[in-house]
Amino acid sequence: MNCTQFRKYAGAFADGELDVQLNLEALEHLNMCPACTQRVDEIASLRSALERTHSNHRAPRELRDRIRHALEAQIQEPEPVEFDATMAASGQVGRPRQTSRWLVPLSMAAVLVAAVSAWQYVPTVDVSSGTMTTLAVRTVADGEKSADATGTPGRRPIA
Amino acid sequence: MASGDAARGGGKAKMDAAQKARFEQLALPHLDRLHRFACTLTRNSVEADDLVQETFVRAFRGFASFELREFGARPWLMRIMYNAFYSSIGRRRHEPTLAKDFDFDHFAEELTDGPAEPMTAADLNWEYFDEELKHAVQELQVEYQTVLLLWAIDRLTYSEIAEVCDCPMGTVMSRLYRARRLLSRRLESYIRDRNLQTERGTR
Repeated sequence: MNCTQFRKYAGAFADGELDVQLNLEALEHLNMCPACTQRVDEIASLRSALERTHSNHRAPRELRDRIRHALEAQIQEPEPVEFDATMAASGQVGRPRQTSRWLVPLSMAAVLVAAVSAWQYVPTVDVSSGTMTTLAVRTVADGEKSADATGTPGRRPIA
Repeated sequence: MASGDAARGGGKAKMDAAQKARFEQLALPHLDRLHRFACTLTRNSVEADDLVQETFVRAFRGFASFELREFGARPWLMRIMYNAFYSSIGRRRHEPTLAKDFDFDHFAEELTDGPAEPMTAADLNWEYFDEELKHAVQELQVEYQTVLLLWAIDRLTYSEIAEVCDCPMGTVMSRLYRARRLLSRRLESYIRDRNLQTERGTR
């Protein structure tokens, strides 16, 4: 590698961006060339100088709070505007839907009821011990049932 | 970058608050660097503040699809800022597509023939030139200044800078090379105009 060739690679070499082979060739050249070595040193020196003169930048103190408030607004925003074909036909595209204030709590209640009823308590009889064990059977989304024994508290003797 | 789903009901808001906390923990430590980058882009402190805020909001919206292992947090945030800035000024940020693998021979066409010349006229003690260096950087075109400071201050690799600026790596290297040369010539003029004498030290 001669000086002209090295000049192509000087910056990348100084920045550690060369592959292994080129890096080795560059090092071999630098071992014999003070001028190219100086060039590499100056690139590193420039980087250090820029870091020193520019890395003490500080954002305004109030900007951090301003950003926090802006992010808070993102999680407290109302429902986004939803496209509604009926509203579009009537020229009302872009208006937010008017939802009943009771809709969310009623929906949550419906979800809770559905969740509870999804757990089915199925009594089974253990013939050998003459006891009945209550199994909590959970209906999973795919319709298969998995069973977890609830154990002793559910046991009661068969009359 | 996919945006997050809108909050739907109390359960979702709780998750978003947790995400907000995680996002702040990840992103706010980079605030100073991002603000510096915004100042580089906008060259205006008020616009820089607005750009930083816009960046954080956009990043938060896309946080659900962000994967740390794929992208460092700071390059990711800087890319969002870069896109937001150029969207706001309506400038196309896409460079002509070049091959991903950088061709040094193509890059070498920009170099003049001849022996390697030192970047500066003498072995400079950079401490004397801090202020002059700052002014020289400020006078660079924004594209050169951006790449230069991402390289020097943020210590991004060429590929990371290319990701931030959404340009080929060859463009990054070319701009970096030109920026260094411009600074060097500017400082040579400074030395010459002020008839400064420097001592050549041994390296």
